[in-house]
Amino acid sequence: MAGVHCYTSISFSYLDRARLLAETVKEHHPDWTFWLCLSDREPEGFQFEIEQEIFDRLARIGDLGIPDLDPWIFQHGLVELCTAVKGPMLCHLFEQGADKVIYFDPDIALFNPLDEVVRLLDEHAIVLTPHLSAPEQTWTRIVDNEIGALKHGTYNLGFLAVSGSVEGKRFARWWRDRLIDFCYEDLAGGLFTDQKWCDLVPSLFDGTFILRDPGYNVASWNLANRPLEIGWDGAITAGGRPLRFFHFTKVDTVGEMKMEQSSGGRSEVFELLQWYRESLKHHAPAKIPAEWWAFARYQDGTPIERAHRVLYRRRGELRNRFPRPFASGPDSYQAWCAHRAEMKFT
Amino acid sequence: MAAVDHMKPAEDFRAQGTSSPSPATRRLVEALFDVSFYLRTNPDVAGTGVDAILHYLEFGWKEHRDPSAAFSTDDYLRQNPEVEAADICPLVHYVTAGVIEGRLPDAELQLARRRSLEPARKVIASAFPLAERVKPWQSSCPAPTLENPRLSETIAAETVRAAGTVVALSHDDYATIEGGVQNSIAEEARAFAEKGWAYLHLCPAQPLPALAEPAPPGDTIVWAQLDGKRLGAVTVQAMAAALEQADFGAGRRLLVLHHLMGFAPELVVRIGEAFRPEQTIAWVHDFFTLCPSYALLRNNVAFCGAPPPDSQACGICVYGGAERKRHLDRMRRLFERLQPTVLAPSETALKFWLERGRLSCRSAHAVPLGTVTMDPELRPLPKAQPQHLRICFLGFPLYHKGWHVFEELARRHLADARYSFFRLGSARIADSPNISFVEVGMDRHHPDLMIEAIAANRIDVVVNWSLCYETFSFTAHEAVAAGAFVLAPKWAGNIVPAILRAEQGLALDSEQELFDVFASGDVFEIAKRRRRGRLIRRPATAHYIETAR
Repeated sequence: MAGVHCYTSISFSYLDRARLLAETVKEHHPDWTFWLCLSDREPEGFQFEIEQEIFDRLARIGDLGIPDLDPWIFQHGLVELCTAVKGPMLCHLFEQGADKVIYFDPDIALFNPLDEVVRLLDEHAIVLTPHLSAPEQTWTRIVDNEIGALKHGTYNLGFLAVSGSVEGKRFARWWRDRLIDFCYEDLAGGLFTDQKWCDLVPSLFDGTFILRDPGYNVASWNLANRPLEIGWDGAITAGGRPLRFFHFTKVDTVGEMKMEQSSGGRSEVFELLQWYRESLKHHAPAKIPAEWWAFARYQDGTPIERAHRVLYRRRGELRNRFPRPFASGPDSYQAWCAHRAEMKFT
Repeated sequence: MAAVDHMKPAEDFRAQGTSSPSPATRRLVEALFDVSFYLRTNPDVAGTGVDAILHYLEFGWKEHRDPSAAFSTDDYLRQNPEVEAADICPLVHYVTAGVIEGRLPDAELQLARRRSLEPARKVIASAFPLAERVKPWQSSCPAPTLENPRLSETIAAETVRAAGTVVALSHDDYATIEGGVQNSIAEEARAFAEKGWAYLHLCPAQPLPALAEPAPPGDTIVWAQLDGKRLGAVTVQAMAAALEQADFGAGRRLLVLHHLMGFAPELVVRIGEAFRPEQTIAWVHDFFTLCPSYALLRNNVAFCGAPPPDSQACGICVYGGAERKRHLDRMRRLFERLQPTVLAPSETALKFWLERGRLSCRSAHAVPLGTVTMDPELRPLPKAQPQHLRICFLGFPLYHKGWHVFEELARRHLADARYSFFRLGSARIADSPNISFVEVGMDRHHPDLMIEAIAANRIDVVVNWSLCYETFSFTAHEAVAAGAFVLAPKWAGNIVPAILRAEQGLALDSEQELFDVFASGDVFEIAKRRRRGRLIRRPATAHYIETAR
């Protein structure tokens, strides 16, 4: 189990992205062990066999030692859940004996080796990449990107590297604990899933390295200060440095509009986007219904409203009274919520 | 996680399509609205004394009028059909969905970028991988092949007493299709005929935008014509067998590879081995020998410089990856087996090909397809109007020839009395605002039609903003010969030496520099000194054989 382990965290709807990420990681680091952390269950008629996949290992949400699993899952939306398991998964890998662990969001693709990160982990416990590594110059970008980072977190947790040192493991345990209790999208409450927590990391832990190289974690929010270029030698650079990995957050029209605004009038990023979309088509699994997520519905198929999750999260007595929150039928949490709605309680 | 997501829905503004626009909506779009542009380009509105912004919000966008030179109502509606369906003013939608209200200092810059990116994005979206690219070309019924047991005798009848025999391969039928390369081949065939040579031309019966896979297995079908007379469709194997048996007498033998699109290189080797030429010539009319993207346009959008096939650039290109590796392997084997003499139409192209291609060859030479000689006796026609320039784009309005840059230039000078904009070409394809189309036919019996048209239309400046590394560029030569001043980008291959040699052109660093010389009016001074000349066309391989002797 020693060596470098990396992982990503998904539900089945992101399987195409995870496969593409794994392919690009394997291209540059065939010796790394790639783990898939899965917060989902198979839809009917779909069989997921890890042996047929590019991933080396599979960890299901139930393998991570999270107590009171069903109630815990219920308290989270899709993005919250796939983010909250990142902490327990990190600890899981260290428990298995990993020397160094690297996390990637599934919507990342590698373009160059990350040997530098592996070397950094010889001397540092934690490596973080900031959303921004240069001050913004225009009002729109200050509001969008700098104030955006103040709200959502300084560091982008689409990437994280942690060493198996004492300090690295101390961080992993802390992060796991916080994410189990407080991994929610609650900006007013000072939380943005796992990301805001890591603003505290440089103060709480020794050996934190802030990797400001513009080639790492290039995305719509920092592209304006790291223009992509493609040379006659075929090398892709960001801000003049080799492009290490690109973060394809939101490849829909909204994401594309962000790219447009930060592209500086250059078309290279749209070539990258086109390549990414086309590649995803080749990695799309058959037989997964659109928008599938096993924990999106009550037992009887009714979609779970976000308000139901939030209420369940906030009221301990409901969790005690309904330990099987996904259940349908009399005396279920679903029935309780329906009754409450009828009575027009707020 | 996405750091930010500030997009605001446009629903609040939906109602404004059915009632008068509110002052708040007017304020919202004010920063992006160019009132003087609107009134200048809509004289019917200008005369009424109406508020231009309110006019646009209420009526103008529905009549496809533009609020500024930077924002095209038509383009926006085309790209966002849901906006038109919902009856939302496109400029309001852009402001609310794309740029956040209340903070618009760089919104105009964003709009300008959006405009400049739009053509590139369309091109990228239409770049398809091999299988999809080839599909529309493929005919469902293959050409019937000629069963001619006497093919070798037919060939020998023409060749046995000839001074020499050329077997020439190119991607289409030069006799019926007009174009720069096709016309050069026609010129070459005529020149060889004059010297008593036989000229056997082969082109694929199934044209393709790629190398062919042998079909039927081990074979492909070609159209053959000998000295301008059609022999019919034959399989390459049958042609090779005929060439093997034919009696060529004591004449010389040349195999000329003009273009290999639609051919299987393995079968071209078979032709070469059957024909046993004293020399094989491979032309670098473009860079198809280095990449399936013959103009080396990565994702159809940017000149790539032919990087190594395992580079990151090839990794994200629709022509790259496995397709380019296989393409290059097949070309490499062909060049190794045939050891051709490589001919490029310019020193610039030759140098590039040798540096970037590294394919095996016997020798390599630059053989220009034509030269311009300036003639002091030929004077450009006097200017139509003083203090006015007639600016022109030559040929098809294609992205990789810089049409979008020319369109943008013309758009920036809508209703600018200093300039008129023209396109001279063989077909009216789409009308563009502020660009007049002038039809100029193509006729290889009158090769100087374009030169005459440029002169007759009193064109002062030709903008030749090719994104490719041009190997020769007939248009640049024709423009110079016609007495026009040529503006081109520094990276455009042979255009730059051609216009600098004639002392009738300027190579610029960027699109911005191009726009600046027009905005400032510097172009009047830059393009002042002009002469006319003559373009002497050279018959490609025949010229090489003649001069190499």
